[in-house]
Amino acid sequence: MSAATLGQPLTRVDGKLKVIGAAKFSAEFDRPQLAYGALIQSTNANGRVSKIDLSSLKSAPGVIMIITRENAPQFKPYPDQLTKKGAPGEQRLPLQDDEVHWNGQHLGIVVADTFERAMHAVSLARVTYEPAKPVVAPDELDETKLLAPEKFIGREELQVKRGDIGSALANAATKIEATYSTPVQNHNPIETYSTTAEWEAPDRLLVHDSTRSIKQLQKILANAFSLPLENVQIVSPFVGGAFGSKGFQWSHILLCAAAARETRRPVKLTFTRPQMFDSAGQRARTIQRFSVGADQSGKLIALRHATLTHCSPVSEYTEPCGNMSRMLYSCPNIEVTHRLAKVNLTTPCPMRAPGEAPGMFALECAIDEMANQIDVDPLEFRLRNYADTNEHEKKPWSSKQLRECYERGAKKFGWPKRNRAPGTMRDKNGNQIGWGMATAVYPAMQQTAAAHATLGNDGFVTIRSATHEIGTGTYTTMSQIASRSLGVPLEKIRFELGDSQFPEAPVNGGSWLTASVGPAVIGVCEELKKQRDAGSPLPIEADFKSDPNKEEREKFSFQSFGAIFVEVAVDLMGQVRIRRAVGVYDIGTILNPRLARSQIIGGMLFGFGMALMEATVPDQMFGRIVNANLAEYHLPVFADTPEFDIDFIDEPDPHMPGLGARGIGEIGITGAPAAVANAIFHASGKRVRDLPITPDKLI
Amino acid sequence: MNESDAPVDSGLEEFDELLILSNLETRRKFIKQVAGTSAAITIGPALLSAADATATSQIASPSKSNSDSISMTLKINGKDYTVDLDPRTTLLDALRERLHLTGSKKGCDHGQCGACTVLVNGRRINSCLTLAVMHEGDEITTIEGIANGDELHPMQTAFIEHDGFQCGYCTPGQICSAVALLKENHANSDDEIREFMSGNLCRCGAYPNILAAIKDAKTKST
Ligand code: FES
Ligand code: FES
Repeated sequence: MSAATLGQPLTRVDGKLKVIGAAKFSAEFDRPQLAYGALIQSTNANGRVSKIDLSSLKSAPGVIMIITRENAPQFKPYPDQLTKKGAPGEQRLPLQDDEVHWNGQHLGIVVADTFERAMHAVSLARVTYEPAKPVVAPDELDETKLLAPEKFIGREELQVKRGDIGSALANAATKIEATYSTPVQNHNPIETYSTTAEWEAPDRLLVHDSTRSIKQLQKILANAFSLPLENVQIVSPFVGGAFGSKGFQWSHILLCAAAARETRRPVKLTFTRPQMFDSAGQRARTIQRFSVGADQSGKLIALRHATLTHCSPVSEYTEPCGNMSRMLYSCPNIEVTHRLAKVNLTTPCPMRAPGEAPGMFALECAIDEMANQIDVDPLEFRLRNYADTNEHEKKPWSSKQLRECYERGAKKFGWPKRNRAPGTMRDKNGNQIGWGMATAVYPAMQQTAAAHATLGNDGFVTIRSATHEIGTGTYTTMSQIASRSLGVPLEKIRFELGDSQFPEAPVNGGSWLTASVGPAVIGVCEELKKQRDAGSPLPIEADFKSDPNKEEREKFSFQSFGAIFVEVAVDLMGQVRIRRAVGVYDIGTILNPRLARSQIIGGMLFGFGMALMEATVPDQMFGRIVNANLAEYHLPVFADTPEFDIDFIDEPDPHMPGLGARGIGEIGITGAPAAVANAIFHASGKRVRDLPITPDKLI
Repeated sequence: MNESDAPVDSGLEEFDELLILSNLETRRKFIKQVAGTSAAITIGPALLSAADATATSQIASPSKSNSDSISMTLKINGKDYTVDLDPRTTLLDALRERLHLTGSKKGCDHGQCGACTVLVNGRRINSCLTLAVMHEGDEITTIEGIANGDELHPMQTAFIEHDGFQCGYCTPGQICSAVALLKENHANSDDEIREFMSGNLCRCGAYPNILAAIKDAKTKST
């Protein structure tokens, strides 16, 4: 097995470690003298803290240290590039003032010698407040108080106008107006956040963290504690799922590191499940108003997509719902706007397909509604409005095989047999059956990444890069790439990641890992090969850094595409079951079909959860999350899983570097919620525009 | 522990915890141990204010090493571990924090995710929902004890083969649960498997692959 490893459905190289329980996640490193941290949290959503009574806490058994505003160290402000307008994560440093901005905000950290004692001790803190009335829902704010953010993380334009939307709508032969909404959602990886910080010397910090942004966290901590970058080491060999969480700057990591410094002991701070809802990011609620118009021939002539969403008082991160509306379909008149309300809820951040997930739910439902209104098959309607170029960027696509996805998906699913009229299909038990579809799309991005490689005397190749394994198969696919590049069997490749000492790699997100780290691995293998072929004595070493291909990026628009088809059954009680799902995706080269399929299925299931069950519910008076646990925040479980049929176009994107792979982590969720909502409409004739589609909305 | 000699008490799975607690010997011991500690399970205000009297500074001195802990022996994967534990320690925290058997995972600490699933006397339980002190004398099997030495259990092999995981964090719980599922004879159809595995959440969405793995392991083990 050598050159043939790429494109093969190999099993994971870290599979054995995972099935025997030997893969070490961040909370599982045994450190000498380990102490346990627990967070004091606000029970108010707005106002100021007037006093924290620690009297009973101080004498609780095992308590070693308490840090609150009174004795907190001064942290240096976050570096500019992390907090520039619209950046995810928090701009505010913890414990530097008395302000309270949301329910659950961290007000201190307690350290004790055992976990049990820390948890007990923290329950003894008594906080008094000067409360103010919180604002919990974005629609509570009057228009004049809303922000109009210019860009999404300094990248994508959030306020876009093309053509003349007003007169186009006035002249449209068919028109719809509709408002869609999606609730606050939480990432809820099964592993919660965990940080173990220890000071190896007064100026050296070692942190085992469940982070998917090692290099960024290294910068954050070095900056906060005024340390040279190389004096901070972050270790994170396995991350138990992230989905947008576990990146960015959040207060608990600083508090944990500060506590470790003060106690001179390693301190471990692991989030409880409820803290996953109020302590480090979530997807914000969105309210999306659409006006769509088409001409006589069923061609889109006007699309207005106005998003209202929210951030916290200490961030301006915006869920960019309208990005895809700018260019997914051909349409001469476009207006995309985003408004942002600062509310007293925890700071939002990206969650799997930020913007695309809620935005595509709304857009793809609106398209379905239009098709229904003009009585044309929704797939046919999409083909009529197929975008041959990116009309927003005014660039050709790097490659786009969406037509092929539609065709293949429709065939596999049996779509041509569909009766267009809603409410016409029933199964033998009397359940209403519906078929729905949607387009999937996600940008194909690339970042700078580097790798170091060694070919040892034993013939083993070790490759290192400070990238991450969050379940996407980095260990496996990077080993496959190296094996192919070097012609060395997979068994002789060791790919190492998860250590900030290794060469630079980007935050693991944006579906860019393979397209970024892949070229670095190919590059470093080429360098190694040159030396090996020149007969250099072993061991030999090489370094390589790969940058995004700017010229190609100027010329082309890079997107992945897909089509998803689902069948749902709606019973008398309004309960929806997804029976089967077909997805065909154009994501460039497939490096490992087994892993690619798994990741797409995971994305689709994430979208099904969003469609049918997931919602974080803040109390409207106090801003406290009322369902901050896995019994009441419903994730898809085994019994919610339909039959999947997944296929890939599997053609390299000629303009992507290296292998022509575009990335896969997020596209699976895009389109899935709309396909479900559209199928429910087809089953029942009921158009539900507010997620999740729970039974009460159908009966 | 060898899979085949785990006792199976069919039909009473749901009363598992109760049965264990109602084991008189264990129960008496449990109550005695809890009552004898300063940090009782139900902590009332009176206890708290008594502790309050000694508070002087923000930085409390570390307490004497666990005067309120109790010694117990837990039999895990066929091996005896004697350990001093705070009686409030859950079985899961005993495994992860004290015995460094970190294969069992904590996802919620409230019996809502299944990541902490282990086998106790052959039955699957959520180890976060039970106290370690209740399990003296029990045969506890964790993910570390599922394989037979270096030879993987057919369920483990099937999980690798069918890609029954992504991040792998729910995996030890899924595998323990699946091993028990086969013994419970609840793997007779896809829907039955889906239903009886629904206590083990996987946010990565590996369910279809886990389903395939369980079916595969079932054929191989019968
Ligand atoms: S940790 Fe025990 S069920 Fe979640
Ligand atoms: S594999 Fe990640 S939660 Fe199941």
